[in-house]
Amino acid sequence: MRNTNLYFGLTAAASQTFDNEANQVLALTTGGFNNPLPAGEDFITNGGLKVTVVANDPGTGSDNQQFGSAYGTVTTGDTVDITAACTIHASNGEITMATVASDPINGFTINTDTTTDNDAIVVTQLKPYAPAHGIMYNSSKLVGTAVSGGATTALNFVDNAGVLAATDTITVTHGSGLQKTFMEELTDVIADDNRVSGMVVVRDDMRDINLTAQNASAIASVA
Amino acid sequence: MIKNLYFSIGSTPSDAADDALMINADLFVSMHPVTATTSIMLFLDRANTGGANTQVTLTHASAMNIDVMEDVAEAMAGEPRDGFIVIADTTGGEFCSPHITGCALTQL
Repeated sequence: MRNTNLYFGLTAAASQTFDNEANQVLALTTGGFNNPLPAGEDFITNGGLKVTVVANDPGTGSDNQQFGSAYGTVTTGDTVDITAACTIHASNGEITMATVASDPINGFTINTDTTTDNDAIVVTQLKPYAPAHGIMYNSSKLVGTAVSGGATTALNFVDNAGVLAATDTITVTHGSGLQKTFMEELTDVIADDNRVSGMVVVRDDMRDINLTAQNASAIASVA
Repeated sequence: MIKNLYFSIGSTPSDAADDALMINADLFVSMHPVTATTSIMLFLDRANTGGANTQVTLTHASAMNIDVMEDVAEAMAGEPRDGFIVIADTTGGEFCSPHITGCALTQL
């Protein structure tokens, strides 16, 4: 068998909603989005998050929300992904939405006359970037897999802090009574060189990905 | 096959203590994000003292943590004839992932 590593996405995607937005800057907060805030000016272009808005009275005047040509015909109620209009500060979590005047193709301009119309602008995390968000374990360091509840299985790995008399525990929640099914699915994937190469996602709460598409053990979450 | 993973921190020449490390891939335990631009690989103690782990911190482009983890896992799954797998050779400019730009070694 080749080396296989098992990935667990431990947290759901963070999101922060901005209502009554009065300017082109969305200021993420550690309480509203994530602590720490995303860092790096290329965080958005590298797919770290997306920004969407539910269109409200789109048009071409200052009393409308304005969308660049790339978005086609936008009508009220449409959820529009305006990530392409956005850039992020290197460290303070401020996302700037380019206006249509500055970017006629991908830009988005808020309704400047009635800022209370600028609701439901949502920033959603797409990738992990902090220790709590996810972890990848060497499958050979899986030392035990045990039933831990009616619908949970505990995976014990060698302690990654180097403590000999300790283990790291990852708990997978799945369908009731399906512990053996989950264990069989897990070992089947680990053992099959034709199905896996490198990193295997066992469960990713952030991206809602399960071990297999069939998900016979009804995996629901991981912690 | 016995596989070994190679890291160097970028010293030129790479000839001082702890400038570089080759570690048995079997000692690899886990990897996770630290910040948006760094991810850490944790190994069982390479000095075999049963003490604290050996850590390699990879620096990479922002938000590419999971992409780097996938690339590292893919590299470790490779089967070169000599078992020598470069994960991050900063000195030589060779990386297993196009997103990695450097690495730091601790607990050596």
